[in-house]
Amino acid sequence: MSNINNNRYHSKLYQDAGVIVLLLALLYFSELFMIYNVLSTIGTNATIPSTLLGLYALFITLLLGIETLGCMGVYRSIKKHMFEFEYYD
Amino acid sequence: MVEEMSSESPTLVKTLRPYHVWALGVGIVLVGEYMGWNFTVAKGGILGSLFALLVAGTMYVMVALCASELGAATKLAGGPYDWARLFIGPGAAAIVGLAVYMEYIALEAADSIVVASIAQSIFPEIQVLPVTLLVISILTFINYRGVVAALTLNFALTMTAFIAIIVFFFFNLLGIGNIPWNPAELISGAMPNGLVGIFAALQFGPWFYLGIEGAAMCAEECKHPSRAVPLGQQAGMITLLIGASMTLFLCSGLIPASVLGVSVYPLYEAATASGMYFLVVFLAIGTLFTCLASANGCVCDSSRSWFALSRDHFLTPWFSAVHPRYFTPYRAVIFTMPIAIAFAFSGFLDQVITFSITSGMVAYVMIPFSLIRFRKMFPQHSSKVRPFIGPLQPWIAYFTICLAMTILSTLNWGYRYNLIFGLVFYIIAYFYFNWRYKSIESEHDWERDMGWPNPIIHRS
Repeated sequence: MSNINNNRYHSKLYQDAGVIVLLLALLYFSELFMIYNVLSTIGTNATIPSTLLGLYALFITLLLGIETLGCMGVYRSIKKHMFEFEYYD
Repeated sequence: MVEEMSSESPTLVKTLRPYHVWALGVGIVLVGEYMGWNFTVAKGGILGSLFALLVAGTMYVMVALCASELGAATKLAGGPYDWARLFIGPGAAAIVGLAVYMEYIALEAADSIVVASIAQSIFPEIQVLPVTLLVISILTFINYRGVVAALTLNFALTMTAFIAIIVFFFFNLLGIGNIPWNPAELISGAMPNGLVGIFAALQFGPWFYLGIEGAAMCAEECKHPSRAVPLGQQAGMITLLIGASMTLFLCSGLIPASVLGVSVYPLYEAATASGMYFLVVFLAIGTLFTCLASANGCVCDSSRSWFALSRDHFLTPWFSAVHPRYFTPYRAVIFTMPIAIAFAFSGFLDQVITFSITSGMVAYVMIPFSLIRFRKMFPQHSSKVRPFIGPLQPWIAYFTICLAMTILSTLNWGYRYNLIFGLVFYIIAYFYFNWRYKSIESEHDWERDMGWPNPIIHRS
């Protein structure tokens, strides 16, 4: 424990966080871009049932919201235990 | 039991890192985005496919969170089997162990057949079955030699296949090569079978993500499982969600829905429709690589499930031996070969795949249930028992069970007998193993086995 390099650990933690933030950004972009394009293209030429639109809104919110909360949980877990379990040695 | 064995024989080597976990999880699953997911279009059109993507995606995000929490806590090779054994009981453990084994072994057989079929399309003179046998044999040998080599190979194969999707998407988005994304293709097949079709499309929704929970099955071989499993698994889940949305966007605008719904290689066909030779070659390589990565990951996961079942005497303990030099469960690895070959040579690819999905759904009911039991038995948040704490539990575990049962019920449209066969198989297995395990061992010492305090409430 005493030999642990704090700067190195925080740098590695930020690298882990950076990968997840990058992936999350790509996820938000790709999901919202795809859903917007598909629904707006179909919606201008046909009627999409409002119940279905509501279900799309519900599930995309759940999907992105729960995944984001999960990633925040992973970050908190690594930050809390990284010195105890010597993750980066 | 794990501790007992460690003093007598070699144990699994702890060397894997988060990118290996990512490679195992995504490697198994990404093939479903190259092929298979498009049957959602045949059932419910583009809107049905979008609905299946979102509903199944939500379920798998929650399954992955449950698996991350359980995997980081238990750190055992059996994954869902070990979670059910520890927190539910022997009958549930056995059916989950068998379900996971069948899910992956059936998928390995299907992947190997596809690899052989691709090889035959390139070299028409070769036969599918001998090449299938060769692929299964080579992948078994790689897994026999060592888990690090097997999963490093998976990382390279999977990353190449994922980058192919990303490049294809951004080429389309930026208009490079004048790829014709055509709204007319989208509109023509929006909702051919009405709301019933949209609901029925759910049965193929798992194809986008089927098997991601298997990433946690390398926990016992991770250097730091409490970091590697949650990080690798969540990164893997996000990767699959990105791949799924990009795939649906590209294919729905490049291929007519009537063709897309029955296509064997939809992403490759979309690349062909783009008219760019570079993308055609890249996506062809991606298709081949993703099948190999999936089969390779399936050998790894199915062998660990068999190894764990054997270690706990559900099967003969002969299979639980670890290789003294390569530190792999080599007998369990080798035994995947005859079973995968039997599935491959059965000649019923669609039945094999449906059995794999049914088995997966059984596991998706049992994984969140294991988490609910785990949290009731061990409510304390100590770093020894629960180093990773998932959000919104146990509510998302309950919701996962509801979604898994809903998706399982949609197999009634077109696969009623497969569904009945699968459920009868697992019910018989439940009662058989419940009876058999009680005659072998009933005592469980948490301190000795897991290094944990005794639970607040007991299992049964």
